[in-house]
Amino acid sequence: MKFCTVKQYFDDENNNNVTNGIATTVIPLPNKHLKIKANNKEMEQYEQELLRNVMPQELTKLILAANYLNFKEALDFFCRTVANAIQNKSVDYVRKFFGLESDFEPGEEEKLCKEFAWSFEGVDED
Amino acid sequence: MKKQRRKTEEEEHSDIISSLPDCMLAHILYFLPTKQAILTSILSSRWRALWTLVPVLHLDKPTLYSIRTSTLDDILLSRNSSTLCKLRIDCPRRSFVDKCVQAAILRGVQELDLVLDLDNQTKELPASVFFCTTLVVLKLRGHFLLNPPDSASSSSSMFPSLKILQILHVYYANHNSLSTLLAACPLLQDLRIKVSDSDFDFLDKEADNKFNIIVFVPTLKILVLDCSFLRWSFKLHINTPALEYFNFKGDLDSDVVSENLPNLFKSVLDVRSCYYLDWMWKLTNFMRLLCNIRSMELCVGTAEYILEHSLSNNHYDVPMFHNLSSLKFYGDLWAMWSPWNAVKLLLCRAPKLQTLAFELNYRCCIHSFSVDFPLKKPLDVPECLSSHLTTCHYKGFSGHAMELVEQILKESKVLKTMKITFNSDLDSKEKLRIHEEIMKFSRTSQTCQIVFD
Repeated sequence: MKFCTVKQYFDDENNNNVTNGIATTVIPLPNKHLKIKANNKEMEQYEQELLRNVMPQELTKLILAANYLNFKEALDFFCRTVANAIQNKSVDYVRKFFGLESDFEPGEEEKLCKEFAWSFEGVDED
Repeated sequence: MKKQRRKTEEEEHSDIISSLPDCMLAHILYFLPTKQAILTSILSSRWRALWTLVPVLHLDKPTLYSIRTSTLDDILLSRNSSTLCKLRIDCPRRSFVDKCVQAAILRGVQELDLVLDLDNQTKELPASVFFCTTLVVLKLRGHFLLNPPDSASSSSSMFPSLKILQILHVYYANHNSLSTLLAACPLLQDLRIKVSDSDFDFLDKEADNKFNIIVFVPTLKILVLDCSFLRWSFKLHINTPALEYFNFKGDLDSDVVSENLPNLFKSVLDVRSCYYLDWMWKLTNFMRLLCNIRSMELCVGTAEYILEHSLSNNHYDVPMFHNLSSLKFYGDLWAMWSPWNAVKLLLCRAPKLQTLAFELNYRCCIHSFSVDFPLKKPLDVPECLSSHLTTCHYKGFSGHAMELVEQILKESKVLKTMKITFNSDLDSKEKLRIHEEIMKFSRTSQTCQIVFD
């Protein structure tokens, strides 16, 4: 079931540039998935490898590939990998990681930062 | 030409994360703690509201301290009507809990996990929770006052979709609060309750009423009930024809009746002894309903009480468990006590046992006396050891209760595997010593392999 859509994936026009890179990572996925069930430590190691060797944009494509193939466990795994990569990191780091640029008005971003610096204070009528 | 190509590459580099649709980005945020997910709204204008698409919200004190209430108001009451699947709150603000829960219900929440920690106050569970049509899982803990509406007086049914209910230390408004709640759930499958004395602080103590735990739920498959160490007397009555798993920790002092358990597969028992003369009779009656189970976990303390009581009382015996194929002893093992006789007594009641397991925590004892009970006559050799027992697994072995291992190896005629998983506290020298000692024990079964982990 999973493999029949792989062929369709390669036949699709938007995937010509990076087909090879994805193929080497996506095809071994079902085996890795069996390993997910077996051994958490191995998956952690695989995750570390992935983060070191694969650029964020490749990870993005892996996510899209997993979604296209309807491969839920792989999708969850890749999304979790990205989440772990940005957890507890500064705003600047995350922007660089994703290749994002701030498109806020000059005062807007400052305002947002202030919002999050406030401690929780409810209008507490208790 | 070169310049053009380079431009495209750069664009591709920067746009790639943006090529993911909102739902994918929200799926990434799903794996972050809510606090971190909220912070991504600073990244760019596109990310501003992305975190509100995540179907799970965990609002604990650290998260709530880092953002303004107004922000929270925005998301909770936002026009974005995406379904909120799960809401977990652990916070000491009553009005906030109300607001969040109401908003979650409007967004079709399926799972609510509420922890409320107020100093000397309580809070009633919002009425809308009881009638929420989308709620499938409800977990409650803390200073909630459980006062379910009277089902007769309300037009709609309570908890129409609830399948899983977990209650860990809440306050009950009256003696029937819990029973009323349970009787109202038409689809309940998994019920886990822990009750303690402080839960009854608001009950009318003058009246001579017992607290009722009436579990008459025809759809219930899993029941975990911990009512141990209760001084307040309660009445427990269980009638659950679909029940497959029953975990009970408590006393049999109070009024305990269980009936109609034809589908029970596995039971976990931790029953304390009391010093009433009829404890063995009560236990026998209680266990009789369980006698068709295939798998059992028994607290080693309960096994000890059974041995102690059966030595002094010949009339009542633990029933035979003819279908039991797996038995595990768990719990604290006190120093100077060998549980072999208690284990053997239970083995005699399980003639077709195939798998025996132990997971015992060794506890040091200041007193050095032995608490072995002298047997009037030796126990029979359990039939299962001669014919059925093929696997024995001792988890967390620390070198104590060697007699268990020794006796099982000696008396099992068809044992194939004896697996010893060492306690992680042991050093390799100890492990080697134990390994050598065990390998010296005589084995009756020719095919027995001893495996060390």
